[in-house]
Amino acid sequence: MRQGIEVQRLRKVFRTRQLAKQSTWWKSLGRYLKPEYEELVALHEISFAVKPGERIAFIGPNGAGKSTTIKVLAGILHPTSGEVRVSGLTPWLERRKLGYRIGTVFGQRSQLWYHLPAGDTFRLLARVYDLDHKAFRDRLDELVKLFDIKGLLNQPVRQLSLGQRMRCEIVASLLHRPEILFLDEPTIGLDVTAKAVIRDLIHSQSEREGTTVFLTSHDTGDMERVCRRVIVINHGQLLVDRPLATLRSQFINKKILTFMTAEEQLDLNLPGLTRIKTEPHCSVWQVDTRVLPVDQVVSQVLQKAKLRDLTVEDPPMEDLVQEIYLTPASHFAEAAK
Amino acid sequence: MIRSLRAYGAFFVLAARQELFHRGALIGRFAFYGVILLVFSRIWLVVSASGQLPEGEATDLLWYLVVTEWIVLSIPMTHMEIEQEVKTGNVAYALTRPVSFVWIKTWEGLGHLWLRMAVLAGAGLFFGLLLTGAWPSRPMGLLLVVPVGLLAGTVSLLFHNCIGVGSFWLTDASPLYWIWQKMNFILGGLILPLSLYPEWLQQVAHLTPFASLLYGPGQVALKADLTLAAHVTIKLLGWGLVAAFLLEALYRRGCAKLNVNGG
Repeated sequence: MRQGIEVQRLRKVFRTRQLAKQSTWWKSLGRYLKPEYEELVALHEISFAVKPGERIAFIGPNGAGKSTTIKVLAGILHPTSGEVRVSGLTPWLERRKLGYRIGTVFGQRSQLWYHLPAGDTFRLLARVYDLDHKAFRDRLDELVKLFDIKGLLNQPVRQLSLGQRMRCEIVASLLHRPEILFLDEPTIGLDVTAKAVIRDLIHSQSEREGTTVFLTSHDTGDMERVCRRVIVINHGQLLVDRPLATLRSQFINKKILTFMTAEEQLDLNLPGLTRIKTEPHCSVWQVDTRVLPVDQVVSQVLQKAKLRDLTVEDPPMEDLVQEIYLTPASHFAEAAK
Repeated sequence: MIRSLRAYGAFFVLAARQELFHRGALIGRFAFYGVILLVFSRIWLVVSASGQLPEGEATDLLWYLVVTEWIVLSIPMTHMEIEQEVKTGNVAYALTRPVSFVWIKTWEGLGHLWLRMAVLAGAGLFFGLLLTGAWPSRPMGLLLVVPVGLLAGTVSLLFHNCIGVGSFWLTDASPLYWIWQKMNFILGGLILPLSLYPEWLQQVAHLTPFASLLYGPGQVALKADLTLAAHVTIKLLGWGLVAAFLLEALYRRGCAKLNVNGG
């Protein structure tokens, strides 16, 4: 029977050596011989649970504690205190058993052998996960078709684009049919098209096989396209743990529009539209999509000005976290109803 | 156990394939081997001509160097790979696999080591004959040294990986490696057999693994003595066990200590 993730009062403290600041040489020597350590609390007793088959976005700004959490759940880091069960196992104590049940994708790292074709790494992983030849061939054929990587299998990994490589990385993580897939910033550095492809693939794969997805990101787009539930973390503390729909109605409803126009000034007066910045031939606006759809703003601009360029972005994660900070807890209870 | 061995075997094969793929590196190693032997063959010839070495001993000394350099140049820098994976945080992937990171590195290292040893064995014979124009005084020793050399390389690799695991604490394991390397060159008798050292230094060297890693195989090649080969093999197996236990113990402690770098 598939099991999810249970985290109880998880705490992680890193000890870092303090450097001597503006000190005399003998004080520096003394510090070197008798170092002093500073404690950095990365996670403050966080608790949450993930059911089998759920897709969770674990989001927060840089340094919030996302990667630390994922590394503890994957058995890479030992926690300072607290209890964690992943697929019924304690990750750091039963790492080998857990290895068969989880898949990991770290957006800023690679598990593929750099100089060899991705196909070679897949064959190697089949041995690591003890897949018999036929099971491996069937699984690989299935994933190659789904992720559209047939043409990439025989190319050395160093020749692949980042988007192509990321598709191969995810295939490598799914070969052994993991119950839980941990994705740490899987779309980092990708262009818009590649991000959309990766998000769709993760989503459809989880739907098809019931894989639990635990995704960390500082890109709100990842959580919107992939997940149903969102946990927001900042400074090692959980801020919010809510269904995506609840958060969307309150927070994920803004877009940043940048217009480059032939005209020096652009004046718009629409409900739900706020000007953020103006420069000659360039203006930046924030639109509340609950009040005003993005296409209406664009058509209004097309009527008023000669549009040279247009960018649509999500607000920075820091803004979302700031907004959540300022929202009273009672509001979430109401929104959930 | 068999399941793990199959997995480690796959890493061994892939590493050997990668070694073949990097032909440039193999050619470079081949050339460097030739240069080292050329330099020392000239030195031993000069020493021999001055009458400080008996005739024939210069030839044997060069064949001794052929064997010791064959082992040293074949050992891959796996300690640096471990250090690099810890520094970049790539170790994160390896730690989530159902096989041990350090044993993956060891089997990968063996893939590189044994392939290099096969290639450099041919190079050693070629350069040895070219530079001395003669076989060593007991040529059968060159056959006998092959399994002993492979074992010495394997044990050295295990010690190198112990040094690499040091990066779990230190991040940078290079200082440990420099100390190891210099001790290996001196107490292992890389250039000169230990029998030419002062008595007290010989005694010190024989208390360390270094004497078994280089001097032992070098002596087997020159003396072609089965009893000596068995004696060196037993010592190497002993040091191999020590290195393997040390590697596993360090790795277990290191995992608890490790803070994977990067966000």
